[in-house]
Parts: sequence; C-alpha cells; structure tokens
Amino acid sequence: MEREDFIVIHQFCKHHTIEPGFIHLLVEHSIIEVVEWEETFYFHLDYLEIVEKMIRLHVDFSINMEGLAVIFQLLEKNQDLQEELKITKNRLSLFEP
Amino acid sequence: MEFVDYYKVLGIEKSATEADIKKAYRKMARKHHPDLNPNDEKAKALFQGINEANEVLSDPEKRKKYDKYGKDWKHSEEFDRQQQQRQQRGSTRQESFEGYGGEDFSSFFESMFGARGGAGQQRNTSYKGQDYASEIRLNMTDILVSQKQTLTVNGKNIRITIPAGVENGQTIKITGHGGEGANGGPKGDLYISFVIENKSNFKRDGTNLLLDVSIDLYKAILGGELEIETLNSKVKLTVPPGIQSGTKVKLKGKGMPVYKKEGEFGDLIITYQVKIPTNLTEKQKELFTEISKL
Repeated sequence: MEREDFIVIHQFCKHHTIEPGFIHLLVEHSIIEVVEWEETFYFHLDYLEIVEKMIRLHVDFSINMEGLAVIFQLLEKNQDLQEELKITKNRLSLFEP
Repeated sequence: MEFVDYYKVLGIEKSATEADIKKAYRKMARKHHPDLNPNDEKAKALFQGINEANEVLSDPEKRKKYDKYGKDWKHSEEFDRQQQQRQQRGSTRQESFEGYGGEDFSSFFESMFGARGGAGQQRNTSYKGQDYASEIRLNMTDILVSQKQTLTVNGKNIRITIPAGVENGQTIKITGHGGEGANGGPKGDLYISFVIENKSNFKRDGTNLLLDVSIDLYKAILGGELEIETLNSKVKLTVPPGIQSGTKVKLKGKGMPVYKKEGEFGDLIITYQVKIPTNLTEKQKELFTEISKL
C-alpha cells in the first residue's frame, strides 16, 4: 500500500467543505473503509468516486445517511445486474444464427 | 440556436407556482440524476436540460425575463437595460446541481443569461470533472493480441492499450481523461466500452471458441484426417472411426486470450456435425441396402 494512494480525510473535508463526521458515517454504514497512520485518517483513492457521489446525492437531494446506504447498495446491485446482463447477452448470441 | 421550452422540460404549465417548479424539478432530477444513471449519456443530457430549466424558472428575475423574451431572446438586452436602471440585479439561487456538468448550459441559455447566468450563489464544493464515455468497435481478430490505439477525446489524443481478450460490452475506465474538475476538483474519467464484432464462423463463449465442423458420412464411419482453421492458424485433426454427430473435441489453448493474463488462452471446442448424403445414386442406394442387411 502506497501512502500517495490515500487521501487525508480532514484535507478532503476542508476542500469539499463537509464535516468529517460525514466520512465517518460512510464508514459506519460500510460504504467505505478508512485507515489510520500516525493519528491521521485516510481513505483509499478507489473510494474517491463513491465518496463524491454520496456527497452529491446528500447535498442535491437532502438524502440522509440511511438513504445513501440503501442507494449505494442498490447501485452496486444494479452494476452486478448490468454485468450479468452483458454475460447473458453474449451467451445468448451463441444461439443466434 | 433553438428556443428551449423550460416549462416543457420540467413538464409544468406556464402558470406553475414556485412550489410546483421545485416539486417538478426534484422529481425530474431524481429520475435523471447522473449518479443514479451511471454510463447513461441520455440521462446526463436530460439532466443538464432539467438543471438549466430550474436555474431559470426558480429564479423570479430570470423567469420574468424568460417569459417576456424567451422566444425572442435576441431582444433580451433591452430587458437587461431596464433591470440595470432599476438596480435590481443579482439574486441567490436556492439550489442547483453545479459541479455535475452544470456548467454546460445550452447556447440558448448563454445567449439570454450569460455563460453562468450572470448571477447566482455558487456552492464552494469542488467536484471531480465530468466523466466521458466512448465506444470502440473491433473485430474478434483484433483482440487476439493487446494493441495500442490513439483516441481523440475533446480534441486531445489519448494513447491507450486495449488488452487482448476484451469482452463484447466490456467497459474500461481511463482515470483522469474526463472533463476538468469544478472548483479545483480532480479531472473526470474516460469510460470506453467495446463492441466486438464477430464475422468469423466461431462463436465466443467467454474465453472459449466454439466451432461446428461438418464431416461426411464416410469419414464419420471410417475415420480420417481433417484440417481446420483456428482464428490465427491451421490445425490437423484425426477423426476416429465411428464418430457420432454432436461429438465434441476440445483443443486446449486454441481459444481466445484470457483478459489481462498474458500467455493464457481459452479452448477451441469443436462439435462434429455428420452430413448425411442426399440425392443418392441407384448404385449407392443398392450398396446401402446391402450394408443394412449385413
């Protein structure tokens, strides 16, 4: 794990003008994971997209954390179904003349 | 530049109240929000239109200007002059979806209100830039080996490596090649989806290739040799005597390359189809009858 692949949470929150509590709620709801190094909390760069998405949904629709957790789960499910659909379509093409 | 009917975009009457607008906007935004419709370019475009309609109709001053000059936007400068005289410029916006492509207003909007609407309180939140989506069409023979390709995205050339064995419908993400971020946010990503066209006789099942091979009755009964073409070479097969129609033979490692696993390949699965001769000559009929009595 390279440290440059991680984002310092307090800097991120300052930059996005959000409360650090928001990130911790995302952790509590198992949406993301954070790590601690030398008393500083970080999240991995891979989570950036989902964190920003959650901020947008929270701000744009006033959705609370419980709602965000449900949306997160449904979006993941949707992604899995899309993947399954792609595989099914490709398999179905085997039977097309 | 075309006139945009913002009332139609939000699905409301011209007489709609502020509450009606807000309600319609929330409903439409929920339906077409890009975060809830990933990789859906149509939803993104619709959302931008909804955002723009709300930007105008939720602001009493902009709405007034739009109602008066909407269809005749070229004369809207006169309205601005009147407004300046009344020193009533400037207002605050209650809500907006800035930062998610919200900067992309139509030319109609920019003509009437300026690039950013000429007013408005901006959220300081910085956001990742807009994600771009692109499609690449390739033939199945193009993906047997990894290859480099140069794409032009928004006037910029991007050199990408297409890994061998990419699937039909697969999407890959090129980080940081999307639109510029808002308020210092990082750049968006580029999503490339692949359409793999198959003009060969092979059918693809994941990493395996399937091929039906016809053999005549005599070879099926007596056995023999057969040469078939794979996607990139030729293979000699020995057909054992007495082979049944539908028998499958697996040629290991002669299928598609395994995605991102260099040197690994799927299999080629051959299904023998025995062709029964038709239009037999009298002599052939006689011989078959004789054999059948043995």
